[in-house]
Amino acid sequence: MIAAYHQPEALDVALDHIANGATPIAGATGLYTGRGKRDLKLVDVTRLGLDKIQVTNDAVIIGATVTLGQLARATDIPTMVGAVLRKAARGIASTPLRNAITLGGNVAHVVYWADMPVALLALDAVVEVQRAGNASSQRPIADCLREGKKAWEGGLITSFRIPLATGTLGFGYERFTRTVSDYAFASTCVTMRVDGGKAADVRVALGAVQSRPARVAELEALIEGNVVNTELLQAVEDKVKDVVKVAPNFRAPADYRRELAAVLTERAVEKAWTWASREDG
Amino acid sequence: MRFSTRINGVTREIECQPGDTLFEVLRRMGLRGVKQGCDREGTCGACTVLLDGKPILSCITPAPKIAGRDLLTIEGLGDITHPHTIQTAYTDAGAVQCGYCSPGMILATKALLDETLTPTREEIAHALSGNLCRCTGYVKIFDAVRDAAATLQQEKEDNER
Repeated sequence: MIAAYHQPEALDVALDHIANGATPIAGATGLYTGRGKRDLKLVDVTRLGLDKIQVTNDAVIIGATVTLGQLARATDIPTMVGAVLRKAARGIASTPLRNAITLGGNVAHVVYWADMPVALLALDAVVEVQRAGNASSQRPIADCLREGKKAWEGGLITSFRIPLATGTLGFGYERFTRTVSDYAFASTCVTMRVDGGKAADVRVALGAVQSRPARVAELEALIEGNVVNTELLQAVEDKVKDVVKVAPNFRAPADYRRELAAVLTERAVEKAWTWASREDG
Repeated sequence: MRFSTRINGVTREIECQPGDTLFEVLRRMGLRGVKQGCDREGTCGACTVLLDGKPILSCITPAPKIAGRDLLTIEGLGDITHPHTIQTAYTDAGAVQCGYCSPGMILATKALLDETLTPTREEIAHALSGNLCRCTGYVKIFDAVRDAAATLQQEKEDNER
């Protein structure tokens, strides 16, 4: 049961509500599903002016209540960063849901099939958290996706800072669903640059397979410093099958999802390499 | 709680419980063009309305979210004596069978055609991606969207002459 619904227009008022036990909501797409808590006090954070996208010389700063619809149309975000974010956002859910789902909500209310965290991990996003009466703090995106105590407990995710890399990065983003608006069976985002003909700064993030979206260190180490060729791509597939722990899921057998993740990751690595090599040469 | 908002061009005072969905409030007001076709999961689109011109799903939208904003439901678009061009296109193309999904489909179409009167097939599919039709299939619905776009484009050109 929802006992109170606050809709402040000032951040400090919202933070006070949260400090006093209110639950922040934005798109509210998950609010009415499942079993509701009793006497839930809500603070709607969509009128705080956190719906802006700001591009600086070295980063793009995305407000936490920017919707996926906004991101899908955000042609002013430059470089590969913009391409990754638009592609990831455009693939999620349906048009009316994208008009409601926010980037902050996609992280704060993270589910294992959530897609934006996969892109944010590969883009090395830093999350800004604010709490009543305190200076803001910055946390790596991976800290905010771990299971257990939430990194923003008692506060609010207010923005995401994504570095605009100097030089050119390549990316591959792959996602498999049964229908366009379905949850992902597996998704992966790979970014890398090519330095002296070899892969560098490799990031491989996987979603919808493990219990939470996460980077896979073993895969990154396998690719880093190497030429991406047929043998390496096969090794990538084999490594996914070896190291990725597939979470239980009623939608498809674990073996199928493991195979799917391996194939999608191999494709994403190849695309990232091709893109980065082309720009490098 | 009480707040005011604009619904179909008219300022209205709304009184509701903090946990009410927009869908529940609209139905109580007699605006029954919003339909429930899923289990408040946001998967069917039959409850679609336009909030500040953008399609949203009223069944999963907290009612207080519309305070001070501009809402359009199917009742505000046109009626049987004065149908909107999009509504006429849907009936002419035979894009309506049981009619349950039609209000949502038509409002999603309105949001699309407010942005472009020359939508590609992909853009139509993208715009209607949140709206399920369980009887006709989508061929006639796509035809209706294209017909409505062409008619609205013609009307626009005629008005500019």
